[in-house]
Amino acid sequence: MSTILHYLMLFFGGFISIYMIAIVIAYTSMLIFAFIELRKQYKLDKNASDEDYIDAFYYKPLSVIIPAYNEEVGIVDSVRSALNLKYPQTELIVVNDGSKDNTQQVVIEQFQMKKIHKVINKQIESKPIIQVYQSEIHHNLYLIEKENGGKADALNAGINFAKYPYFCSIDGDSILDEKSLLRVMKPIILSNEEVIAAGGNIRIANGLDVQMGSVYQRNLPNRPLVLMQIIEYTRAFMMGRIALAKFNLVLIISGAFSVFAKKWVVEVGGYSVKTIGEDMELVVKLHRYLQENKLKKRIEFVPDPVCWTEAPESLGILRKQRRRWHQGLIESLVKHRKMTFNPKYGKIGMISFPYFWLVECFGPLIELGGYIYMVVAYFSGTFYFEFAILLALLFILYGSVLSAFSILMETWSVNIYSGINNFFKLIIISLTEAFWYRPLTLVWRCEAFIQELLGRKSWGDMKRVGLSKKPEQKKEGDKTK
Amino acid sequence: MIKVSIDTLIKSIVVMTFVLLLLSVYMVIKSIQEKAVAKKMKVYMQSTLDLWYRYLNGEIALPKELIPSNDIEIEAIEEIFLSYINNISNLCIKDKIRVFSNQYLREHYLRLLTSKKWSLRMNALYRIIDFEIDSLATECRNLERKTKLSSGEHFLLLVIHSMFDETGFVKEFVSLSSKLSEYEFKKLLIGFSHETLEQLTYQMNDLPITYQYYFIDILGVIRNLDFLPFLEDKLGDEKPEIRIRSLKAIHEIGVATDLDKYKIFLESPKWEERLMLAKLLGAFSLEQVYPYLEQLLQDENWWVRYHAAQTIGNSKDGKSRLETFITTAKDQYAIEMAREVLEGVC
Repeated sequence: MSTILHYLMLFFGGFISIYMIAIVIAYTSMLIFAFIELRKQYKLDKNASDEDYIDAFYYKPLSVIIPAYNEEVGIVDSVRSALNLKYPQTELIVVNDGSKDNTQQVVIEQFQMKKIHKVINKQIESKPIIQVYQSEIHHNLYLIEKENGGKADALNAGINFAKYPYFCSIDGDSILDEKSLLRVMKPIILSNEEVIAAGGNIRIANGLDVQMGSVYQRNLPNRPLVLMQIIEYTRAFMMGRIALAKFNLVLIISGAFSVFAKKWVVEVGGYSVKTIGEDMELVVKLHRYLQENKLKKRIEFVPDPVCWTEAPESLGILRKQRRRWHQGLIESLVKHRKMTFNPKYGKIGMISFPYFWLVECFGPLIELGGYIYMVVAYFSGTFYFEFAILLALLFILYGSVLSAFSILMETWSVNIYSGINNFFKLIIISLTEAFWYRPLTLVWRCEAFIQELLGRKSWGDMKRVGLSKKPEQKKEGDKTK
Repeated sequence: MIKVSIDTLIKSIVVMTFVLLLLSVYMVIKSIQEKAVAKKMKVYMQSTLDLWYRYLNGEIALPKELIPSNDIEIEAIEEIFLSYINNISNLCIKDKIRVFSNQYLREHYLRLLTSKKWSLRMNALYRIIDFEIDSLATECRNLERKTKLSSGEHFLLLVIHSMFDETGFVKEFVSLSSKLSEYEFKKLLIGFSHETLEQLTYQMNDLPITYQYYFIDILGVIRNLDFLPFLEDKLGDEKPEIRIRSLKAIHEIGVATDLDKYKIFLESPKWEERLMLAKLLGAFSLEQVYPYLEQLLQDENWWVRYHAAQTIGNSKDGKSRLETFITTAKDQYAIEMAREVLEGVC
């Protein structure tokens, strides 16, 4: 019995260590790749190229869709920031997905919305639209009141209503930098429409000074949980998205801020209403469609555009969010499993899918196994003690040191949270990641497997305080997706 | 084996932490330096802003203090010039900037053009375009012939070539081997003189087909009536995309005279042609074209119906026509569309 146990311990120890070493090597390579990419653009005058593209003549008009469900706290700021966008021709469509709070009234009062009659070209299925409103102050701002059907359904209704060939979806609680649309549309325009979707870089806005829909001061909050999420977003960007996008391997562009060519989205039937991670599902559907029809199109990730979003401030809400994200990932991978290792789907089938299965989907299970193994090995006598040390070092290297390097690179290149104080705050917190934050998120992501097996679909709750500092908007609201 | 791995890992973590520490120190120094540069720039701008205003407005001759003596001053001057160029459209000021840049900034940008760093070369090209530094045209032409160019650099060099030598550029343009995107093509051609564009109309068939499409679009954007006969001639082209884009360009010019030339599109099997016709009919009096618009209002395609209704709604007496249509028509989709436009008219 003890011999079997001994070999089992050896096997798992070896397996987890080899997995972790492979992951560390893969992520370090992606980090180096990101460094090379960012170094190329270092000191490039981005404003010069922005001004170059601003002429309406060259630009493709675009519809901004803001789905909202119980977003009374954040919606006004979101709409204002969308109105502030520097872009030649846009229409803004707020889709009130049957909110139970005052979302609709707030928008109607704030922007003087008036009922209009509008015939809608229904290209994708969505729940019925009750009423359409148009702002009397901003004639390009519309509000759609519809029956509740979830975020994906609200987006589909927005796509049906949209009159322009491109649409951008932003969350009702997000704030966009004024140049973000210009920059995210750049690859689409320059590629002669070969790029059919582009996602932007998302950052956390908790604690920042937001006034009238614009971010004024970028001082970091003090809460370690929020700081850790800032590091996590930076890390995902530096150690993954830049490299994956370069080779057209991106499977996730965040739903909080992304632009799509409407034609292709309609072609694949719009957002899927029955999945939890509708943003990933859409990107996978698009990739699948492109490969099956042998179309030479790309999906890009743009490092610059900044969309500010509100991160959960409590463990409970963060847990639900992460569980939901992971469940969405599992669902999409399972749904399109036939693409895995299928040469018909090119690089997406042969590289992206295996990577997402092994690292993103099952990674948490293996890593969590590693943490448990480490504890068990530590207390199981001297023989496994070395395995425990080896794993601990790998976790520190992977979780903490690489995160610190991501922060360093971010400060060197993009420098969103400028200032030396912010830099050190992030570096110090990032070094603690392997000891508390990483294990926590691993547990939550593993819970998603149980949820999925039990067939539970929680959409999560998010208590919003709103990003704006205005006192009248400080009251609590809730969001159910 | 495990011992070796642990040793290697400990060593790598120690090395990486050390590197992290060094880089953090570097970041601190970099931040202090950047702050110092920003401060110096601010001081320079505050002390010279008034002089620049007076010099650029022609009130004074160039004072010695404005001649840059280091890179920080050049950076500040760039910022001042860009704010003038982007916010004021005064030809005299632009010319002063051009003359100054050719004389005092030329060497700086020449240095950047030969830099190993792509980003610095790109910045130089942007500034040569912004400040119209034509004394660097030859150097840019030489660069253009280099094989190892990024697509961004190549395009900016083409812009520079077209800016400083339009005639020479057009001669080479038709046989241009590089592939331009729609944006790039239009950006290059939009500033061309009337004569150059006219010359290109004769050479249009020598252009690759996608460039022909973009060229027709440009004729629509510049809205010059002189090109109307050329565009009307293209309505008989065998390629549907050429016909559709020509209709669009004529619609954008906003003037159409001979209705018979357009009526054939009423029965076109291509809904895009019917759509463009629905828009273009707005150039005629409603009296003259209402029967055609009514037919298009009942088209099988949603977009055709939508634009036919819009055209009627935007015309004089359109409102009453739509009201009558709603009471007499049977096509429910067309009635819905007419109602929507009517509400917008109210």
